[in-house]
Amino acid sequence: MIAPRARAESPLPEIESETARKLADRWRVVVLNDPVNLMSYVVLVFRRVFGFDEVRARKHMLEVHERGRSILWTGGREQAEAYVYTLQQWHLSAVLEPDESD
Amino acid sequence: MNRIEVTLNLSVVAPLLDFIQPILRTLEAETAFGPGMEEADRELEHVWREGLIHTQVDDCAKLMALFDAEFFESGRVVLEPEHADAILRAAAAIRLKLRETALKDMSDATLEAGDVELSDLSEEERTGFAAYLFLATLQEIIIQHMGL
Repeated sequence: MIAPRARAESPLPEIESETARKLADRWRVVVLNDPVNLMSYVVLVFRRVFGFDEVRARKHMLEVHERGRSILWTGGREQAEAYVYTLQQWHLSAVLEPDESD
Repeated sequence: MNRIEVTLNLSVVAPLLDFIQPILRTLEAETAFGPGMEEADRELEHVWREGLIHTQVDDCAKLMALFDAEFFESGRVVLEPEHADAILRAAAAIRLKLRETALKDMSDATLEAGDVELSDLSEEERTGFAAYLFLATLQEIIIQHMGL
């Protein structure tokens, strides 16, 4: 959706595009806990998908296990979607969330 | 990772393979997990899901290819390194569906601890649980050999 608005202080219309916003905003890749996948499997997947070393992958795995979720990556929408897709290929419960932090 | 050769108890494993056949058929049509797409992206959900199912079907085929004529003669199974990722994923998918079906009445705590009184389980639950554990063991063997 495009909503052109003109500001008194600028001769140029201000264009808002929800699509542009979605692509420009930061997004989180979040993995949620599940009662099935082995801890060792989850660690392997994090290392494979994100290139984490063992320590970092285990940290995130324990966060998922103990807190129910972990933010694995934050950045642009397209890359975030690619990560979520790959994690779902590995059958982890992964979702996209907008990053609301500053 | 080198190739892994394992000899399995044919009389134990063969019935588990039969048991998971309906799950394999289910995984040809639906994902092991529902994909987490936002409502606004519903029009992409079909493409997203079909892609996941395609990978899933391919992975399950590689898992089941382990149990070939040699397996049914001698119980021997050979895992080639190039198929390791696919087999790991397939095992995860089948375990998720087992949880949803044969093991749906078991608590998460019971399943995680593995502390199950088999005599308390129905025939379906016993076989489902055995398949669930077998696939977990297969995953652990592969992961240990990966040496990451």
